[in-house]
Amino acid sequence: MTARSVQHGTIRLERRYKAAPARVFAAWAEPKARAQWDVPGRWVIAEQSFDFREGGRELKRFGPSDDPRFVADTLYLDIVPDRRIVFSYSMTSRGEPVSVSLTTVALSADGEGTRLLLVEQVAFLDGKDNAANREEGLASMLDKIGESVAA
Amino acid sequence: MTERSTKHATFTIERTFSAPPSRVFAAYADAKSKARWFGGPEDWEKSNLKLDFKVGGRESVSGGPPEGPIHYYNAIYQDIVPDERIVLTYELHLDKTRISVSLGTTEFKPLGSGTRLLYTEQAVFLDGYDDAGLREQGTRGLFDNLARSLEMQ
Repeated sequence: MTARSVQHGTIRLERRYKAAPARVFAAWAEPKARAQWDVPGRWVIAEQSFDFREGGRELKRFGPSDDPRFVADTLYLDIVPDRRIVFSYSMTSRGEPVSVSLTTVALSADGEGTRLLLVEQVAFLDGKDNAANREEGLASMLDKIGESVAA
Repeated sequence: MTERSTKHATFTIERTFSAPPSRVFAAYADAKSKARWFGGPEDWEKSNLKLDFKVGGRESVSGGPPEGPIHYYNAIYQDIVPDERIVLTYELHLDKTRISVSLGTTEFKPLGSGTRLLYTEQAVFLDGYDDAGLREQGTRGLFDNLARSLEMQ
């Protein structure tokens, strides 16, 4: 029997990109742009669906290339074009709960570029993940966005 | 152009009940039981509570004071462990304006023959509708209703 536990955490990350807010927003909104960064480090996306609109739901299976065991079930809750994206996602590993997150991405103009502020409020379930590890994964993805919008 | 802003807040509420975890959990899992305690102050006019209590299932209820505004609550269940845990996300609209989105975790733990309930809400308030204090106060009121509902059974 699984010992049940919940650890709550809040992760805040800020980035400044040289591209305009519309370009950074498109990194989420356009499937081709999102595929370039939507997984941490050297992990791979095995399957992914897109439904980027308020109320839209997406599924993504991902992980290390020899064992893409994680599934993220994302729901878009609030979208303001070029300004804000609020979404939730639950993560499971072979069907076992890992975490549930509420993530806010706020974009604002910064000269000719963009300031991005990501806040992820997370409930980590049954000791399957932690804030330090999640922050590292999110930071990796935000860095990839920086590379993709600069190209 | 509308001023866009986000403000994040977290609050926790702990309550103990003399009823065992299975009974407290049932007050969440069954639509009729939940409607007895969930949905705003007594003088509000309310819609019927709709509940599809399963992972991925939805819940909705609306209501408000006679003079308005109408509060619309829409939730989605993210994780359920019977008698132990419920994780959901919900959004709240005031009339047509979405004012917040929240991640709510409810943990049910045995305490003697009763239950210790721990509720944690991680919320983002949108566009200046910053009411973390009010939200916590309103949520505490719901738990008062839950306690009364459990005592009456």
